[in-house]
Amino acid sequence: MEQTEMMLKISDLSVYYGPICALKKVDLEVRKGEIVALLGSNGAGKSTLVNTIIGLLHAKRGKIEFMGRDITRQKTETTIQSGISVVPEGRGMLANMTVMENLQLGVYRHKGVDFNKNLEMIFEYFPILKERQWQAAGTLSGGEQQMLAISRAIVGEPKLLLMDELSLALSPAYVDIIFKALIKLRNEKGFTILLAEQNAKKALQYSDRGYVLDLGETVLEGDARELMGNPYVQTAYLGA
Amino acid sequence: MESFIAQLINGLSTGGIYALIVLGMNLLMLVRNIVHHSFSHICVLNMCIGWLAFGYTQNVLLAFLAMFACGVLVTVATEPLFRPLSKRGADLETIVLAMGVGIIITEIIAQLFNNGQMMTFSDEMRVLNVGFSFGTVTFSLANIVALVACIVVAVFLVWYLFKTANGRAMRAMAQNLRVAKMLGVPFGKTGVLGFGIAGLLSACIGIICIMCLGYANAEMGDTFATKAVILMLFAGQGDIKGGILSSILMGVVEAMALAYLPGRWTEAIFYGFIMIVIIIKPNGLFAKKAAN
Amino acid sequence: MFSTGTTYFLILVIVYILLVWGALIPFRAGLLYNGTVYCMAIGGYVAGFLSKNFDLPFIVCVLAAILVGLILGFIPALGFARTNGIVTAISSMALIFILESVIRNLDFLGGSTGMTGIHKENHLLLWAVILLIIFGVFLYRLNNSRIGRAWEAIQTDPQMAQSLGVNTFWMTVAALTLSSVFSATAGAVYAFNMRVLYPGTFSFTFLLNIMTMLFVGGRYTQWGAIISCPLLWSISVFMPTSIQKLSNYIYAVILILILMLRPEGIVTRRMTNKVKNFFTAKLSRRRQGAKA
Repeated sequence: MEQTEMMLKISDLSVYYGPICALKKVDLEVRKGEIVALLGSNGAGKSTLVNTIIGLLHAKRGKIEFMGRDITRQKTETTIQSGISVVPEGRGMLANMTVMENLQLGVYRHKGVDFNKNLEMIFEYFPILKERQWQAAGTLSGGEQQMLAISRAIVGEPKLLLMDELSLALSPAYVDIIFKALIKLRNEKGFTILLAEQNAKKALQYSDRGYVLDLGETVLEGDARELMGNPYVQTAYLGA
Repeated sequence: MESFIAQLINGLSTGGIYALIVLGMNLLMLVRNIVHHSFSHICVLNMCIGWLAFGYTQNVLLAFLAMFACGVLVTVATEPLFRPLSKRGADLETIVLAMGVGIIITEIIAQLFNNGQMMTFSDEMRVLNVGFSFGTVTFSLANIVALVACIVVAVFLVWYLFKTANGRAMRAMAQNLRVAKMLGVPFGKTGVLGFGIAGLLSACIGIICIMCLGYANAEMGDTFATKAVILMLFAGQGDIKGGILSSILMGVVEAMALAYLPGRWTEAIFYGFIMIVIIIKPNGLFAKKAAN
Repeated sequence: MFSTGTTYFLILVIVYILLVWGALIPFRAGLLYNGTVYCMAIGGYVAGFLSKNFDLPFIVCVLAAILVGLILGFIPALGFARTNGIVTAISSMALIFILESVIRNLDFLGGSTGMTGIHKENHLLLWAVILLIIFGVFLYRLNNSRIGRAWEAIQTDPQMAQSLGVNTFWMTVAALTLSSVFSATAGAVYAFNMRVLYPGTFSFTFLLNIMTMLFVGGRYTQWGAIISCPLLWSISVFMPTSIQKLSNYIYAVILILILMLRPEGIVTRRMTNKVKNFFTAKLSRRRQGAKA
């Protein structure tokens, strides 16, 4: 495999909730331009990992490097500013604020970007958001909210996108639409994406590589196709 | 008719003062999810500082500056007290804590300023307190100025909250702190900013009160605080526009009641009415059905 | 047995303990209820009125106070059970202002000048201790009963409690009504101890004292009150005058520190559990020893 620039490098990361160990010695690498799937069942530690990367939770041991810089103990706002965006679990709508305000908050920490240009691009991808830009975000349908959550995350031109449970509570048709839009975005804009997903089938279908977390530990890692064919993944996550 | 108009203007300016206090408390509600019961006490403390500063310097401008400094300093100084509580998400405790802060400020005013006597402000400080007659109606210019100032300050704050990035960040924090953090809104800094703005507002309220009322004492803080908190709930917590509206309404109703109703039962009827409204509509009079 | 001063002090401590328990019961059901002072005023005035005009014995006055407190506490409870959080706290505070205004207007209760001529009860301390023990045992039994567990469920999560089949509405009403019984009893004892009642006594400051004692002592167990009430009340009674003058500051500072640093208060649930386990372990060891 061609050696490209390292985006995110997590080594030996352990996170505790009080006495309970949520992540145990996790190693993970994401290279520039990749889509990496982070698979695992409920409670495997996917959301914990995402929250630790952006500094909402604090690691007890280990190191998180983003583009060669140590961000383990950095404040959330600084991490966001340095180019990581999150699509939160459950979409994280600010329900009483308008679609436009939600998008504007996406560039709260990214003062340098051309908001209007990015806005046009987003409206091209998701025309429905343009129609509804003055509506309260809470009045959108589930799929539209997910589009808004993604748009809000990419409007600030992040280098790395963290997506937590993208497909949760979405109809399969919508999941495909959103994944396809993501691939297109990645190809055009060169984002790097880390995808925490329960829906292993869809996630592996659209990603390059994958990690499987179980009870806070990485049990498997490898190429997406290989993982798809792995008997453990098939029985545990693909229901085959 | 003349007295009616005079009462109306009186009521509107009192309502304006209530509106500003409620606005300040709503602002703090947004950034820290707290009911800052002692915000009114800080406003009264500002007035006392103004009185003291004027006594020493005989300079109105310096006195007002001292009030602004006091307002910002004291308000921001209360922020660290609330921080551990609002991180725990303990909203009931915050109101008790704020009451504690209120006692301390009331005691400071009662013991350190003018030996606990009522402080009256000189005419120099009440700059605009000049009689003004319009036809047969006479009223103080200060009331009109207070009303205008309230409108200006309120419009500015609403503009700030709805049209600037930091204002949006504050509203985002109120809606969903977790998501706001994920979008890069700093919990500490934005909170301190909100407290700072509320501090400036408290100084403005102090100055307007000096002009309209012309006196200050220790009990004023409690009176204002109770009314402001009740009004805030009456309109709905964090409902900025509803808070302004109901405050002005309350000012007018109060002025009319004082002028035209037999005084003995007014208070009981008034609080009873508000209590019933709050119980029937716990989310506030102007609450829309929550989205989603 | 004791000097007059000590008796007076001890009875007031008991009054405070009963009041704090009165505030504790709604808190068990997740509500910060500020109506304790309102029910205390009702109890005090009922007992005082009966003693003054009909010369009824102490215990009859107390029972009458409890009955009236129960009824007048039950009616607003029907409303408050619909609300939660800060809304309950503030709207129940409005009750105090309403009652104060009503008492000021009723001449047969003494109006603004206050009610005097309440008869002296010679064994008041004894009665107070008996009442304290009765209520204490009652509360202890209640806490460990079905109702107590239902309240705890409501406090943890009202929706979950409802899904478990707890009737949250009536359980909350029960908590508030029971709280009024405690407070009314405290009011009656207070009336006989002071032998003069002013409407201004039952005010905001009184409420803050209760809140401080509740939060400092620990608001999850009934034992906190027994420690915090004598401790805090002795500050304003036994300390030298120079410190007594500062007692309000001291209360507020203690309250703020406790809220920030020890959220559960002095006596925590963990502590009581430890003590309980210690005794049960000792007991079972002794039993085993007896068997062997």
